[in-house]
Amino acid sequence: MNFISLRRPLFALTVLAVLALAAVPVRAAANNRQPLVVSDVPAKFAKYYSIETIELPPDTLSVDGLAVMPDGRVAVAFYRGWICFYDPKTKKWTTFAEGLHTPLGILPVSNRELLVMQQPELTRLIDTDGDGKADRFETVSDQFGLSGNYHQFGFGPARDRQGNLFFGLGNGSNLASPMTLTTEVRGFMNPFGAVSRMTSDVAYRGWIMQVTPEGRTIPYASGLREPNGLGVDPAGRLFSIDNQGDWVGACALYRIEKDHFYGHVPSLIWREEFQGGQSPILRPVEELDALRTRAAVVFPYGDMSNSPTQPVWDTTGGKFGPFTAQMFLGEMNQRFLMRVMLEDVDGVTQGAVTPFLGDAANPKMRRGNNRLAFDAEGGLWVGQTYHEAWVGEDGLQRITWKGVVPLEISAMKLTDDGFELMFTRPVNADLAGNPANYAMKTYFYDYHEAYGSAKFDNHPVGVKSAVVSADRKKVTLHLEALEAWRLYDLTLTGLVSDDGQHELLSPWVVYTVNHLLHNTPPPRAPLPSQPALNDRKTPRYPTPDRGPAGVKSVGGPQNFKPAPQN
Amino acid sequence: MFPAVRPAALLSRLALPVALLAGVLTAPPSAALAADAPQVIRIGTLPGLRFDTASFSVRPGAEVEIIYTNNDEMLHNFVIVKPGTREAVVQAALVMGAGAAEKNFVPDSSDILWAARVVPQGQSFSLKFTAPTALGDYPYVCTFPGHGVLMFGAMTVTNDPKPPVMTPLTAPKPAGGGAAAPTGSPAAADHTAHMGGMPAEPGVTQRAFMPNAGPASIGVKLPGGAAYCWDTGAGRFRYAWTGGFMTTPAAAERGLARIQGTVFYTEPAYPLRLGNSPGAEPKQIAFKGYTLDAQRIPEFETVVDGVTVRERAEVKAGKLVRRFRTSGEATVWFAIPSGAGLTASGGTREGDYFKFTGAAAKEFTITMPLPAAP
Repeated sequence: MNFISLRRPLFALTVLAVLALAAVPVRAAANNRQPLVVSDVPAKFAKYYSIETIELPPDTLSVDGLAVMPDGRVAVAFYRGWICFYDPKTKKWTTFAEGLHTPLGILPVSNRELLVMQQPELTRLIDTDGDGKADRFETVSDQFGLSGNYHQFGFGPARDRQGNLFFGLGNGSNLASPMTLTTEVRGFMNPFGAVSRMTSDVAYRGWIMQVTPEGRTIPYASGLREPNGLGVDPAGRLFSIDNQGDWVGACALYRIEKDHFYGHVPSLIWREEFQGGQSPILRPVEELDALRTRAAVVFPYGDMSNSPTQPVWDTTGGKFGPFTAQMFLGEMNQRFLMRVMLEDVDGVTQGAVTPFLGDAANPKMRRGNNRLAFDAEGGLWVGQTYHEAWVGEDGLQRITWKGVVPLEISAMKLTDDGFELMFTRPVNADLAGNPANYAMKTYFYDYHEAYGSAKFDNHPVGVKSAVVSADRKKVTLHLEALEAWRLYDLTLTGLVSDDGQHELLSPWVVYTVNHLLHNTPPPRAPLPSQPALNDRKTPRYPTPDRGPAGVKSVGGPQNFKPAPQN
Repeated sequence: MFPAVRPAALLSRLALPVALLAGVLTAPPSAALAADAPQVIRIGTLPGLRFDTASFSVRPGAEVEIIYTNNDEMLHNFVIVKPGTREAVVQAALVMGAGAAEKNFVPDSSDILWAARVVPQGQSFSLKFTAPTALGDYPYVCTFPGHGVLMFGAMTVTNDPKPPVMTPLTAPKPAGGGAAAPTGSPAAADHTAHMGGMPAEPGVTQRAFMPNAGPASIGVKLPGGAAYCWDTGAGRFRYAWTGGFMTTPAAAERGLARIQGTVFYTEPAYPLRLGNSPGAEPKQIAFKGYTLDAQRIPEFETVVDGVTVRERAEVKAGKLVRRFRTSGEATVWFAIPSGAGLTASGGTREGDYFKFTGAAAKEFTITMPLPAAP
């Protein structure tokens, strides 16, 4: 049969299977497999949470998008361009759509409509005749550039309460060969966006885009390198993660606000004050540093996160445990999820991150945790991705709370000389009141063009005292010193609940102190320049044997207007 | 026999400026056998968690220099371990916990013989050592979290006078939760039965980076044997072929789709003109999406200077038939490429254009012959 070949084994069978999915629900029994398997949750966590593993449809690969439909079906975008539904009631898979280009996010509109962010566009998929398959693919926004560079991923969408949609545009890679695959690109092109390691040579790569309820596409915020995860919190605030790399010292979570710049420099070329025949990476790093808005939470690289993913919020009303309204994030390289506790300090949003449902000693969760979604019953669906090249595994799991409140840090708040830790249960006051059980260290990540940053000035901070509240649910740590613009990295030892029945599940939490409560000093200047891996300052676009004139720009945003300065 | 380098000592040596790229770590005690001339092995990385070399061979006790280059965007280290210990070392690296990054993800394990720090993209290091005297396969592996499951090879210590020195790597299939494809093809029977009298091969619509078109293109495989490329950025039909459909590359290959078959027609430019004369090309062509019919054949929709234009192609009686539908009242012109043998329904020929007016402007077809089957 002459269908598309994906260069994988068992291809012919795959096609048959896919077509079958397209036509009729595949009976799980036909595959002679149990559709549900209770996985091996580490004993420490099994008291509180269980994990079901859902068998994927035959030969599907990598869960790159995940959402729960209003009727409870779970929509999954697979790497190869398929959108499938899993019905938890019948445990059957059906195919909703095929042929998409690297779909990396799903947002349900109704039981018959989905928004899907794929590489070339944000698309609305509609099943107009009710046969269970999408038959209409409406372009919601393709008003951004695309050059055929494999790394120009599209992320999102997220929707705010006013009905605005947001999506993120990953940078291209200058290390791709050739950098531009096609002789035509879509959208206005500026070769000076392509001189650095990651590239923004076509419009708005590295930006968060807004689509208004009227359908207008607006460049919203800049300076993201690879924003693989956007979300709007219950209060209506937009967040995005970013991935460590050039100009990004460590993976981080940003609160995204209109016209702000978050530090990844190539995207600046689409701003008004960076027009002209020069790359913005040539500007002094101090000038660039002064433009940027800092991350709300920085994730220590290597230990906490190498590849953070989608943020979701616990809106289950307590069905998922004692974390109402808190943010959970996926992580591709670690065998745990992350939980983030935010607060507003001195007018900025900042906070702490802690692992969720796993730690280094209990590496039982899969890696590749890429997409998350809560369902109405309070279950958290987690999709894992390998993406044919990344670190993770492939799969789909559902995490449910067993009803027993674990001992966890429920909030971490900055004080004048340290932190308050709130716990989900009363703690043993003798253990919690002993400063020796708190190992605090502090460090910062530098801002520079070279890939990633070491931890600088990493040193311990003395805990002078740990004061336990009367209800034993709060501990106040008084530190020897507390400075702005640093991470505070805390490991707790031996903490248990006051009834002795629960150990602290996640004894590691890292708070990003940007602002102090009062009198925050200005941020430190970037360190003396680190050597960049890539010192190309002039376009080599798109390949050595083809000058800029050899590439045509067709379609997309052509009447380019630079975004004004905020 | 081969004293392990204790990671603590090892890492203190590794804590050098990045530019120096520590690599030379240790040499075991003097080799029992006379060493051959220093043997230089060059190993690089490939995207997709692979070394570019699956294995190499050295003589027992040989002086070996490994020149290792990280070509990949991800960070990788390089660790040589005792035979049979790779999985244990990889597991040990996974549970290092806090501080793993500072230790370059090299765990404290006596199974590790030589190790070098995490190397960023584009950088190299040289690792010199004396090969073990005990014969066997000594795995080399990247112990960066998650990499070691896939990213490894073997250094074979052998007396074979002509061992294979370098073996190129074939990427292993990833481990993971994916289910195997079902055996047999009952699915096909189900499919045909469900579709009733529909052709066994419905249309296939696949978005991809395609050759000779803009990057936001769509490949369409039609029932009846032809395929074509429709470019959503340019809002137009690009080319058509017979003989197969296309393959899309795996993620790690990062290439264009490959056309299977022979292109028999290429449309040179946007073909339509709207209005009283066929003068100027439209000012604005906006892609609006596509609709699939019961045979999964797409109809593409654009708005061309305010006029909705829909285009659908199908194979009928050995010909490729493109149907255009427009929403406006304007006269529509279709620029005729020379030599393609195009015919039109409902229109008249004026010079190099087909001209459609009235009802014909609202719906017309352009037909071209398919090449004869070989």
